[in-house]
Amino acid sequence: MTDTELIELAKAYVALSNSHRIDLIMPMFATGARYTTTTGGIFRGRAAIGDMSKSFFKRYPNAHLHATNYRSDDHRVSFDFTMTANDASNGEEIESSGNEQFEFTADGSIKKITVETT
Amino acid sequence: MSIGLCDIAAACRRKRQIQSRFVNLARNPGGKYIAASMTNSELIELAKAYVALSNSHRIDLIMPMFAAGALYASTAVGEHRGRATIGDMMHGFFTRYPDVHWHATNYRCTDHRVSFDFTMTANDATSGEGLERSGLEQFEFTADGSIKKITVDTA
Repeated sequence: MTDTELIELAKAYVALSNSHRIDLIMPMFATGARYTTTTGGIFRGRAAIGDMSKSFFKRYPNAHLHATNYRSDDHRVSFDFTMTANDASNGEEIESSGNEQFEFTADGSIKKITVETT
Repeated sequence: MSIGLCDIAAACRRKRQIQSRFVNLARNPGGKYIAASMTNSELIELAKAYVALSNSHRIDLIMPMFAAGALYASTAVGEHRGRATIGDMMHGFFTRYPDVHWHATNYRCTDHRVSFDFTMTANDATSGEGLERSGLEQFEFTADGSIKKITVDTA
Protein backbone atom coordinates (compact mmCIF):
# COMPACT_ATOMS: atom_id res chain seq x y z
CA MET A 1 0.00 0.00 0.00
CA THR A 2 1.11 3.57 -0.69
CA ASP A 3 1.73 6.20 2.00
CA THR A 4 -1.49 7.97 0.95
CA GLU A 5 -3.50 4.75 1.30
CA LEU A 6 -2.02 4.09 4.77
CA ILE A 7 -2.85 7.62 5.92
CA GLU A 8 -6.43 7.09 4.69
CA LEU A 9 -6.54 3.82 6.66
CA ALA A 10 -5.55 5.71 9.80
CA LYS A 11 -8.25 8.30 9.05
CA ALA A 12 -10.77 5.47 8.68
CA TYR A 13 -9.68 4.05 12.06
CA VAL A 14 -10.25 7.46 13.69
CA ALA A 15 -13.67 7.89 12.04
CA LEU A 16 -14.74 4.36 13.04
CA SER A 17 -13.56 5.09 16.60
CA ASN A 18 -15.71 8.22 16.58
CA SER A 19 -18.62 6.02 15.41
CA HIS A 20 -17.84 3.67 18.34
CA ARG A 21 -18.04 0.71 15.95
CA ILE A 22 -15.73 -1.92 17.39
CA ASP A 23 -17.19 -4.50 14.99
CA LEU A 24 -15.79 -2.50 12.04
CA ILE A 25 -12.53 -1.51 13.73
CA MET A 26 -11.32 -4.97 14.81
CA PRO A 27 -10.85 -6.42 11.27
CA MET A 28 -8.29 -3.63 10.68
CA PHE A 29 -5.90 -5.26 13.19
CA ALA A 30 -3.45 -8.07 12.44
CA THR A 31 -4.13 -11.15 14.60
CA GLY A 32 -1.18 -10.57 16.93
CA ALA A 33 -1.38 -6.77 16.96
CA ARG A 34 -0.19 -4.74 19.93
CA TYR A 35 -1.82 -1.64 21.40
CA THR A 36 0.32 0.38 23.80
CA THR A 37 -0.77 3.48 25.65
CA THR A 38 1.04 5.55 28.23
CA THR A 39 -2.13 5.69 30.32
CA GLY A 40 -3.61 2.21 29.98
CA GLY A 41 -0.88 -0.35 29.50
CA ILE A 42 -0.18 -2.91 26.80
CA PHE A 43 -2.78 -5.08 25.02
CA ARG A 44 -1.68 -7.88 22.72
CA GLY A 45 -3.92 -9.65 20.20
CA ARG A 46 -7.24 -8.76 18.60
CA ALA A 47 -9.39 -10.15 21.44
CA ALA A 48 -7.55 -8.23 24.16
CA ILE A 49 -7.64 -5.01 22.12
CA GLY A 50 -11.38 -5.53 21.44
CA ASP A 51 -12.13 -6.06 25.13
CA MET A 52 -10.15 -2.93 26.06
CA SER A 53 -11.99 -0.91 23.38
CA LYS A 54 -15.38 -2.21 24.57
CA SER A 55 -14.63 -1.23 28.18
CA PHE A 56 -13.39 2.18 27.07
CA PHE A 57 -16.49 2.97 24.96
CA LYS A 58 -18.75 1.70 27.74
CA ARG A 59 -17.14 4.13 30.17
CA TYR A 60 -16.88 6.95 27.60
CA PRO A 61 -19.81 6.40 25.17
CA ASN A 62 -19.37 9.79 23.49
CA ALA A 63 -15.57 9.67 23.15
CA HIS A 64 -14.42 11.75 20.19
CA LEU A 65 -10.96 12.03 18.63
CA HIS A 66 -9.98 15.16 16.74
CA ALA A 67 -6.93 14.18 14.69
CA THR A 68 -4.58 16.47 12.79
CA ASN A 69 -1.20 16.47 11.06
CA TYR A 70 -1.26 12.96 9.56
CA ARG A 71 2.12 11.90 8.19
CA SER A 72 3.54 8.62 6.90
CA ASP A 73 6.96 7.03 6.59
CA ASP A 74 8.01 3.41 5.95
CA HIS A 75 4.63 1.74 6.72
CA ARG A 76 4.14 3.97 9.76
CA VAL A 77 1.51 6.68 10.15
CA SER A 78 1.44 9.27 12.93
CA PHE A 79 -1.02 11.97 13.86
CA ASP A 80 -1.69 14.36 16.71
CA PHE A 81 -4.99 14.13 18.55
CA THR A 82 -7.23 15.70 21.13
CA MET A 83 -9.77 13.38 22.72
CA THR A 84 -12.88 14.58 24.53
CA ALA A 85 -15.40 12.42 26.39
CA ASN A 86 -17.78 12.21 29.33
CA ASP A 87 -17.55 9.45 31.92
CA ALA A 88 -20.87 7.55 31.80
CA SER A 89 -20.77 6.79 35.52
CA ASN A 90 -20.45 10.35 36.80
CA GLY A 91 -20.76 12.65 33.76
CA GLU A 92 -17.28 14.02 34.36
CA GLU A 93 -15.71 15.53 31.25
CA ILE A 94 -12.22 14.49 30.25
CA GLU A 95 -9.85 15.85 27.63
CA SER A 96 -6.46 14.52 26.63
CA SER A 97 -4.02 15.32 23.84
CA GLY A 98 -1.13 13.45 22.37
CA ASN A 99 0.38 11.57 19.49
CA GLU A 100 -0.76 8.27 18.00
CA GLN A 101 1.53 6.09 15.88
CA PHE A 102 0.44 3.19 13.66
CA GLU A 103 2.66 0.47 12.22
CA PHE A 104 1.19 -1.57 9.38
CA THR A 105 1.99 -5.00 7.95
CA ALA A 106 2.91 -5.17 4.26
CA ASP A 107 -0.72 -6.00 3.41
CA GLY A 108 -2.12 -3.03 5.36
CA SER A 109 -3.22 -4.55 8.67
CA ILE A 110 -2.47 -2.65 11.87
CA LYS A 111 0.53 -4.32 13.53
CA LYS A 112 1.03 -1.86 16.36
CA ILE A 113 -0.55 1.27 17.81
CA THR A 114 1.32 3.45 20.27
CA VAL A 115 -0.56 6.22 22.05
CA GLU A 116 1.43 8.84 23.90
CA THR A 117 -0.55 11.40 25.85
CA THR A 118 1.03 14.70 26.78
CA MET B 1 -45.12 26.61 39.48
CA SER B 2 -46.84 23.95 37.36
CA ILE B 3 -45.24 21.44 35.02
CA GLY B 4 -46.92 21.36 31.60
CA LEU B 5 -47.39 18.40 29.25
CA CYS B 6 -44.76 19.87 26.93
CA ASP B 7 -42.23 19.81 29.77
CA ILE B 8 -43.06 16.16 30.55
CA ALA B 9 -42.82 15.20 26.87
CA ALA B 10 -39.47 16.99 26.58
CA ALA B 11 -38.19 15.23 29.70
CA CYS B 12 -39.30 11.85 28.29
CA ARG B 13 -37.54 12.58 25.00
CA ARG B 14 -34.37 13.55 26.86
CA LYS B 15 -34.59 10.35 28.95
CA ARG B 16 -34.92 8.25 25.78
CA GLN B 17 -31.92 10.06 24.23
CA ILE B 18 -29.79 9.36 27.30
CA GLN B 19 -30.93 5.72 27.42
CA SER B 20 -30.15 5.27 23.73
CA ARG B 21 -26.59 6.52 24.31
CA PHE B 22 -26.00 3.92 26.99
CA VAL B 23 -27.36 0.94 25.05
CA ASN B 24 -25.09 1.94 22.18
CA LEU B 25 -22.88 -1.09 22.62
CA ALA B 26 -25.22 -4.08 22.59
CA ARG B 27 -23.94 -7.57 22.06
CA ASN B 28 -25.63 -9.44 19.22
CA PRO B 29 -26.12 -13.24 19.12
CA GLY B 30 -23.06 -13.59 16.88
CA GLY B 31 -20.87 -12.19 19.61
CA LYS B 32 -19.88 -8.99 17.81
CA TYR B 33 -20.42 -5.61 19.34
CA ILE B 34 -22.73 -3.51 17.21
CA ALA B 35 -24.46 -0.18 17.53
CA ALA B 36 -28.04 -0.49 18.76
CA SER B 37 -28.75 3.15 18.02
CA MET B 38 -26.47 5.71 16.47
CA THR B 39 -26.35 9.49 16.70
CA ASN B 40 -26.12 11.84 13.71
CA SER B 41 -22.50 12.56 14.60
CA GLU B 42 -21.68 8.83 14.65
CA LEU B 43 -23.34 8.31 11.26
CA ILE B 44 -21.36 11.19 9.74
CA GLU B 45 -18.17 9.58 11.08
CA LEU B 46 -19.26 6.28 9.47
CA ALA B 47 -19.59 8.06 6.12
CA LYS B 48 -16.14 9.61 6.64
CA ALA B 49 -14.75 6.12 7.36
CA TYR B 50 -16.34 4.82 4.14
CA VAL B 51 -14.65 7.60 2.13
CA ALA B 52 -11.27 7.00 3.81
CA LEU B 53 -11.52 3.22 3.22
CA SER B 54 -12.44 3.93 -0.41
CA ASN B 55 -9.32 6.10 -0.69
CA SER B 56 -7.37 3.15 0.77
CA HIS B 57 -8.99 0.92 -1.89
CA ARG B 58 -9.80 -1.64 0.83
CA ILE B 59 -12.92 -3.42 -0.38
CA ASP B 60 -12.43 -6.06 2.35
CA LEU B 61 -12.98 -3.38 5.02
CA ILE B 62 -15.71 -1.51 3.13
CA MET B 63 -18.06 -4.42 2.44
CA PRO B 64 -18.95 -5.21 6.10
CA MET B 65 -20.36 -1.66 6.30
CA PHE B 66 -23.20 -2.61 3.92
CA ALA B 67 -26.49 -4.29 4.88
CA ALA B 68 -26.96 -7.62 3.05
CA GLY B 69 -29.57 -6.26 0.62
CA ALA B 70 -28.08 -2.80 0.16
CA LEU B 71 -28.60 -0.76 -2.99
CA TYR B 72 -25.87 1.27 -4.72
CA ALA B 73 -27.32 3.63 -7.32
CA SER B 74 -25.00 5.90 -9.30
CA THR B 75 -25.60 8.08 -12.31
CA ALA B 76 -22.08 7.08 -13.42
CA VAL B 77 -21.88 3.30 -12.77
CA GLY B 78 -25.54 2.25 -12.59
CA GLU B 79 -27.57 0.31 -9.99
CA HIS B 80 -26.15 -2.60 -7.98
CA ARG B 81 -28.10 -4.52 -5.35
CA GLY B 82 -26.66 -6.75 -2.63
CA ARG B 83 -23.25 -6.92 -1.00
CA ALA B 84 -21.68 -9.33 -3.51
CA THR B 85 -22.81 -7.30 -6.53
CA ILE B 86 -21.62 -4.03 -4.99
CA GLY B 87 -18.28 -5.67 -4.13
CA ASP B 88 -17.86 -6.89 -7.73
CA MET B 89 -18.63 -3.40 -9.06
CA MET B 90 -16.05 -1.85 -6.70
CA HIS B 91 -13.44 -4.46 -7.59
CA GLY B 92 -13.88 -3.65 -11.29
CA PHE B 93 -13.76 0.08 -10.60
CA PHE B 94 -10.59 -0.07 -8.46
CA THR B 95 -8.91 -2.31 -11.05
CA ARG B 96 -9.59 0.25 -13.76
CA TYR B 97 -8.79 3.26 -11.54
CA PRO B 98 -6.21 2.03 -8.98
CA ASP B 99 -5.31 5.52 -7.75
CA VAL B 100 -8.88 6.83 -7.43
CA HIS B 101 -9.31 9.41 -4.67
CA TRP B 102 -12.39 11.15 -3.29
CA HIS B 103 -12.20 14.58 -1.67
CA ALA B 104 -15.39 14.94 0.38
CA THR B 105 -16.75 18.09 2.01
CA ASN B 106 -19.86 19.44 3.70
CA TYR B 107 -21.03 16.33 5.55
CA ARG B 108 -24.56 16.66 6.96
CA CYS B 109 -27.07 14.24 8.53
CA THR B 110 -30.82 14.08 9.05
CA ASP B 111 -33.03 11.10 9.92
CA HIS B 112 -30.40 8.33 9.43
CA ARG B 113 -29.26 9.90 6.12
CA VAL B 114 -25.84 11.41 5.52
CA SER B 115 -24.95 13.53 2.50
CA PHE B 116 -21.70 15.07 1.33
CA ASP B 117 -20.27 16.75 -1.74
CA PHE B 118 -17.30 15.16 -3.48
CA THR B 119 -14.72 15.54 -6.19
CA MET B 120 -13.24 12.29 -7.48
CA THR B 121 -9.93 12.12 -9.36
CA ALA B 122 -8.38 9.04 -10.98
CA ASN B 123 -6.24 7.75 -13.84
CA ASP B 124 -7.39 4.91 -16.09
CA ALA B 125 -4.87 2.05 -15.65
CA THR B 126 -5.09 0.98 -19.28
CA SER B 127 -5.01 4.33 -21.07
CA GLY B 128 -3.50 6.63 -18.42
CA GLU B 129 -6.31 9.06 -19.16
CA GLY B 130 -7.25 11.32 -16.23
CA LEU B 131 -10.78 11.41 -14.87
CA GLU B 132 -12.44 13.99 -12.63
CA ARG B 133 -16.04 13.99 -11.44
CA SER B 134 -17.89 16.08 -8.88
CA GLY B 135 -21.24 15.43 -7.32
CA LEU B 136 -23.38 14.58 -4.34
CA GLU B 137 -23.34 11.29 -2.42
CA GLN B 138 -26.17 10.29 -0.08
CA PHE B 139 -26.15 7.42 2.45
CA GLU B 140 -29.19 5.82 4.09
CA PHE B 141 -28.48 3.72 7.17
CA THR B 142 -30.40 0.98 8.93
CA ALA B 143 -31.26 1.55 12.60
CA ASP B 144 -28.16 -0.42 13.62
CA GLY B 145 -25.83 1.62 11.40
CA SER B 146 -25.39 -0.52 8.28
CA ILE B 147 -25.47 1.16 4.87
CA LYS B 148 -28.90 0.50 3.34
CA LYS B 149 -28.55 2.67 0.24
CA ILE B 150 -25.97 4.85 -1.46
CA THR B 151 -27.04 7.31 -4.14
CA VAL B 152 -24.37 9.04 -6.20
CA ASP B 153 -25.39 12.00 -8.39
CA THR B 154 -22.57 13.28 -10.55
CA ALA B 155 -22.75 16.80 -11.88
